[in-house]
Amino acid sequence: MLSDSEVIVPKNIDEILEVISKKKAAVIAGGTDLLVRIKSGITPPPKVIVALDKISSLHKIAKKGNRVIIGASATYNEILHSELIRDNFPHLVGAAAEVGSPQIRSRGTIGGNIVNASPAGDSIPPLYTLGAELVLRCINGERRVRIDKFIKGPGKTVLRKNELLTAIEIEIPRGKPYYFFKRLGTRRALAVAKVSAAGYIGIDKGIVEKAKIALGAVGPTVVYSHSVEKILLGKKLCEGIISSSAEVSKADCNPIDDIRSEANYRREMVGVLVRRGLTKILEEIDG
Amino acid sequence: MKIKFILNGKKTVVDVPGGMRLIDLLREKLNLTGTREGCGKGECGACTVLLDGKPVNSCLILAAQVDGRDILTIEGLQKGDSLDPVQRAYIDTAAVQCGFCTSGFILATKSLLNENPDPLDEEIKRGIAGNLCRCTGYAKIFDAVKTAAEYIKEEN
Repeated sequence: MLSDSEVIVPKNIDEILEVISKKKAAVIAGGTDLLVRIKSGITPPPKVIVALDKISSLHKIAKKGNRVIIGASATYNEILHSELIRDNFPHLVGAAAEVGSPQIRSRGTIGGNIVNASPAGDSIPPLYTLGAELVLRCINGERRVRIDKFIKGPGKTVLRKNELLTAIEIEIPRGKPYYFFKRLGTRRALAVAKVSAAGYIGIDKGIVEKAKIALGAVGPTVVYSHSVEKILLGKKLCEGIISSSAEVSKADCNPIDDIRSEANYRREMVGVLVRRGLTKILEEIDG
Repeated sequence: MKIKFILNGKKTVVDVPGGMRLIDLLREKLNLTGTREGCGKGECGACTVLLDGKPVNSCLILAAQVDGRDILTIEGLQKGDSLDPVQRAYIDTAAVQCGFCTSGFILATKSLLNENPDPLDEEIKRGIAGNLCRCTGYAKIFDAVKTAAEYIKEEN
C-alpha cells in the first residue's frame, strides 16, 4: 500500500470539478510524478486522489481554425504519434520523444508536466516558444493563462485548488516556421535534463521576423532568452549571428549548482545548445 | 473500491483499497509474483506490464486506475504450454542471469516488436531504455531482442 488515500475515478469532467471544489484533493493524471513523490516522502499522501483515467475527451488532440488544442491528459506517446503535432510543432514532438522511457511516455501527460512546473520539464520550453495558452476550468467557468504567466517557480503555478487544467491551445504560426529542441542529461533515457533549450524562428523573405528562445533547467522557471531574440530579429540567420546568439544567451539564465549539474557548466551549455539549435535551423533553411 | 479489468485475457473483478498500486494488487492480492518491484519509482522497469498493449511501470499506477482496462503480465504471455517467441528468445540466447529484471525486459521487448517488428540497433536501445539489468551488460539482451524478432517472423 502506498497510502490510505481515498481514490475517486470520475466519469466526466463536471464530476471532477465538483469534487475538487469541495475537497482538498490531489489530481492524478499519469502518476509518473505524483506517485514517485509520495513514495519518496516528498509529498505527504493526499487524503483524496482524483484520477483522470476515465475522461477520454482529455486525450484529444485536434485542430480548430488556426489553433491546435491538446487535451491535458494527452500522453507523451500520444503527442509523438500525433500527425497534427508532428506537422506543426516538431520541437514538441522532439521533447516528448526524449522524456523518460517508453514506460513513462505511455503514462506521463503534457498537462502533468505543466502543472508539476519543474524548470526541467521537457515539454515546457517548446510550449514557451509557442506562447501556449492553458485552459483552466472550475465549476464556475474557465479562464485562460499563457504558460509563462502560469508557472511561478519550481512546483509553483497560479492553478487554484478548485481548478483543473483541461487543455493547451496553440496558435499555428503563419508563414514558414523553424523549430529546435535540444537537451542534455546524464544519459539519454530516464535522466532529468541538466539544461534544455527550444526555439521558434519565423522567416520572411530570408529575414528573421519572429524569434522565441526558451531555456530550461537554468532558473526557477523556464525563461525566455530575450537577448538572443533581439539579436535575431530583422537579420538573416548566418554563422556570425549564431555565434553572437550563443554568447549572449548565457547571460539570460540564472542556473544553480544541484545534484544534477553545476551552475557554470549549465551556463556554458546554454550557449552550446542555442548554437546547435540555430545551426540546425540554418541547415534546414539552406537545405 | 471494486474494479473490473481484463487480466491476462480473463475478466477479473477485485476489491481494492484506494491507495493500492497495481504492482501490489498483482503480487500481494493475486499472487502473480512474476512482476517484480525494483526501485518503486519508475526508473528500473522491473515492474513493467502491458496496459492496453503499452508498457507501463506497475509501481506508478494505482490499481483503481486500471478499472476497465486490459493488463498483460509475464504470466499471461505464454499460450497454453508454448512459450511466447520473446520468452524462447531470452532463454535460447541466455539473456538471463539473476532473472530479476527479465519479466520487465520481456514485456518491453514484446511491446517494442509489436510496434516495430524489425528494429534497428538504435531503436532497440530506445525500446528497452526503461529497463535496467545489473548482470548481463545488455549484450545478450540485444541478442535476445533480435532473435525474438526472427522467431516472430518465422511464425508468421
